Amino acid sequence: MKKVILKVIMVFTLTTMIYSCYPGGNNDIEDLDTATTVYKPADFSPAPKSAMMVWNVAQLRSEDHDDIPYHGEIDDEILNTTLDNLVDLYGAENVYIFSLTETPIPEPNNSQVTIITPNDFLPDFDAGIIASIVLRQKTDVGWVWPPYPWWGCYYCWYTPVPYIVDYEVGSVLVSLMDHRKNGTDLEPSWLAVTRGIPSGSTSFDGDRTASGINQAFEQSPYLN
Amino acid sequence: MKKIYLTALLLIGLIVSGNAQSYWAINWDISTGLGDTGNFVEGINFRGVSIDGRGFVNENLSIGGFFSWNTLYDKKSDMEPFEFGGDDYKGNISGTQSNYLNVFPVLITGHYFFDTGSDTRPYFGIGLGTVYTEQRTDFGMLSFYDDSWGFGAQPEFGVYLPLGLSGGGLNLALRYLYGSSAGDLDSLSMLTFAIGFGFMN
Repeated sequence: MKKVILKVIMVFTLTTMIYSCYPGGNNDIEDLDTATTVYKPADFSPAPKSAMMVWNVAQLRSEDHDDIPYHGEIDDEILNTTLDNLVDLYGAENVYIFSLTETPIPEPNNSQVTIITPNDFLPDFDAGIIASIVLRQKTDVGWVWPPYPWWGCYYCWYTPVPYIVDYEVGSVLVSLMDHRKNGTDLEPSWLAVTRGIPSGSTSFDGDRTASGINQAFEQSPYLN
Repeated sequence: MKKIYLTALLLIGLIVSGNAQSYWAINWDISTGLGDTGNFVEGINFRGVSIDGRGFVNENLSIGGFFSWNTLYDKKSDMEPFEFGGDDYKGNISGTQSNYLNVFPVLITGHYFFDTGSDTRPYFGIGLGTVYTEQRTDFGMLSFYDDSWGFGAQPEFGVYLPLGLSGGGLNLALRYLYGSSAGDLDSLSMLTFAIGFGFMN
């Protein structure tokens, strides 16, 4: 009888000790996502009242051809989520989309905003917005050259990434430049970085990125 | 970890082996943090095990050793964004925070067993010794880890309910564990309900 009891004790002990093991598998991949925003307080007094966003997601690639494959799968989520937040901030009448081409014309979810093409007259606006996605496996050099067409040249000045020198692949950046300074300050006034590990599912990653962008705007009440 | 476990077993064995009558209990521990510990890991945690060995010095009084391993875990996804920055720039970061606490008390115990006129033996007692604590916070893809050894005290009351298995029965106990602040870690405060197998001989 005692042997039976001892066996019961051993089984019980082993079972409970195994169950007690360090919980490391409780996290879902989206639990690793973060939304970081960095801003210059001086640039938001007063805050911008209008914005123009480039309808293009700049792809931050390396020259060693070691990038993750990406063909714009989540561009729509990035652009439309950013646009929706800008419209919430400044109103549809004060938000413009800059199309890099005459055709095709962008088709945003919000059809109330004005679309500007390269041949159109540029309206006055306070803030310039551009989104980027990091495709490099290793990003410890921060200079990238996104297009800011309204300054009259593409690749004419450097990227809004001076603060953080190491981005995980798959990170999405949204930067806001203060256009009221007429190019005298080349650093972004606001930078949002959504970080996370790509899951392999385009729709899931798109949802996570949209959620990160929404959170970035939500935690930045000074934008308006 | 292995050293702690072996030391605890050795301690319990040494204390109990010289006594004619002894009581052993192996329990499943269900714990919750209190105070600052409860703020760090909220809710009830079901990952825990304890081993308790006692040798009787007379019919009612026992001394012994106690060892347990309790893991407390909490995921916080609705926290306010953290602020950072300096004069020229400021920032916020938000995300899900996962907090882990592994607690290993190694205690010398003293217990008083009440006479009830039957084999059922309610008891109360206290354990004194040391508590090893591992604390980890995961935030995004960052992880912050710290550990410490602190002083531990654990009052307890419980009951041994025989089940007619040749000295075997059910052990039920309620414990409060206090661990002093040590290193970079705050003091520990934890309430545990234990249910397990008790063996009286």
